Amino acid sequence: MARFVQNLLRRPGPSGSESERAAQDARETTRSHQPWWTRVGLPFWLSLGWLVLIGLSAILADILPIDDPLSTNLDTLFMTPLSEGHLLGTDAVGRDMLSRAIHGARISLQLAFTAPFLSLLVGLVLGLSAGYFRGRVDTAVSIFTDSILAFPNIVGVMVILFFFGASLPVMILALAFFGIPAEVRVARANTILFSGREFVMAARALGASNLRIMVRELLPNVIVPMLSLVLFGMSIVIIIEGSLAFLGVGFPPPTPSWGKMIADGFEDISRAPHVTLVPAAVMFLTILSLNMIGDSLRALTDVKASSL
Amino acid sequence: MAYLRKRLLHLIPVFFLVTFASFTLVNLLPGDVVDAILADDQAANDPELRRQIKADLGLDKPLLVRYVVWLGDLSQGDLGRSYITGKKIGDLLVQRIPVTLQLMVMSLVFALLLAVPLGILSGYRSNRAIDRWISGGAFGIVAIPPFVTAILFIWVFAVLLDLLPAAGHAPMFFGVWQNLKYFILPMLAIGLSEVPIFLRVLRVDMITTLQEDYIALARAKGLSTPYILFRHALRPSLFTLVTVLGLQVGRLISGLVIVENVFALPGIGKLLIDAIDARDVLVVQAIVTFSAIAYVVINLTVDVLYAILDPRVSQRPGMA
Repeated sequence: MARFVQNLLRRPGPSGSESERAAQDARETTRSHQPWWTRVGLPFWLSLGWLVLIGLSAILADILPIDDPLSTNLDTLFMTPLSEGHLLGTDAVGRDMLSRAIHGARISLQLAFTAPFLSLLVGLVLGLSAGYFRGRVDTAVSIFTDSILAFPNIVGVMVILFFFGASLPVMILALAFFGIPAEVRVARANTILFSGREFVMAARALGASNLRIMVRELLPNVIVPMLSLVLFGMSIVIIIEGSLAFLGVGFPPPTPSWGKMIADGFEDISRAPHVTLVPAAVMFLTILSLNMIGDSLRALTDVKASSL
Repeated sequence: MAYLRKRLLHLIPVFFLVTFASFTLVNLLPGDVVDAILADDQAANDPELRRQIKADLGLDKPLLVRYVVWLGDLSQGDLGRSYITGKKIGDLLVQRIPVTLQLMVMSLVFALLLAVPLGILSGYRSNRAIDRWISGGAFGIVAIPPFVTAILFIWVFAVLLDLLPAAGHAPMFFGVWQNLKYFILPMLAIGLSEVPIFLRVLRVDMITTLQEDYIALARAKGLSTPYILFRHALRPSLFTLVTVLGLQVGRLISGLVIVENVFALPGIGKLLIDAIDARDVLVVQAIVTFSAIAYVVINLTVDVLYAILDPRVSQRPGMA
């Protein structure tokens, strides 16, 4: 069923009148002759810029000239953004919002740069096997992934943290686990697509083993679309972490997290909306950037679009 | 019907795997289950109570036997009793389900009412300005987590405009409007987050349908555009949307858990977080089981619906 949906999503775009189509073809031809860095467009570079900014600040948080995210100051409560010394204002106990947003990025990014890659790894092995061997292997893999899908991801991660104890490694593994089905689906669909192609048949005719065909022939082709999915996985991870921190059922981090900041600010939203809106905006921009980059990469590497 | 049989054969092992996973949850607790259940209880060292709990959970028997017994109880709606409140978990769920169901149905209806016209418009005017705006808006909405949407709605409609209550719940017997006004903001928050997915799927199907010959024929006959879009093109474009509706249940449940807690609506999602806070092991397990079973059942229903709506499904190869 999922494959059917995907096939539909892959159908070529609309066709207008003949002349319109010719014009579009011409556009696409010129576009495909441009180097990829002009083809991805301005939004891509803005998104990348934002992520680099967030990433670097998070890494360098300890040596940047910003306040301690935990130090409270009762003289500077609820200062609005752009006030002196506090670019993004202060919260209910006078903590610097900029510093908290940067330190909050650490936890989100730590999860975002681990869990989706683990999902990719497992998804690659399962998806390649399912798509290459089909038959029983395929059935077994799809029963496994359908079972994962039956547990809503936020609820699933929440419950795993509850039963296994809340710690960073458990959270990474839980997030990775629920990211598996999406990666499997992409890996499987692409494996099926490439398995029928000449270079795979040629490899088989030359007597290559199954493992060799999978690793040397199929893997390089399958992994590209999976990598663009990793970016969407990152944004999902950030959303789940934020939601759990907001509900107060995630793990209690020593450093602030965006979700926790939003939850704290929510209590005073009528007095000082910026305490909620600042972390919400930071989170929004980060997720938007990840989706934007993921979308651009998918468009660049789309099997259909690159007309192999 | 070969298709349905295949789906059913597929969902049966999924059902057992899912229930077995929920069942094992309690056994995965670090340390002794009894310790976890009696975590904050002064009676934790009472050997009689410990034995009682062990017997209740059947911990003296092998895992598989316990699973079969648990499944049998489950089929009779017996999910055991909460060790914190002593209430029957089945009764707790039955109390909470109507609220969650009402929110779920309202959100889905709202999402569809918004997504279907926009999806049709977007597909009809594909790659024009209006389509770009709609797709861009959808892209932005995807980047806002449901809990942030919920907060923004509370801020705008409850705090700034003071139109609707920020949180709470009124049962139906206080009057329909009293009841509904507590549901409007949660409905908007969940519904809006579902719109982009429905929209996107419908748009793609719509574009495909509009390329069919019979649409050209309808146009040649001089039928009006709205008539063509709604009467000729919409129905055949709905099938993927129906499928996605089933696949989205998981996402929807996640959204419900968050939104119910933000708005203090006493549904299943609120029960889950309360149970986690109270470390009520068996209630948490029961809710996970319930939501997983709901997912399987809803998807099966969607498959049946799908096959009924489009007879070609059972014949098309390689669909499962």
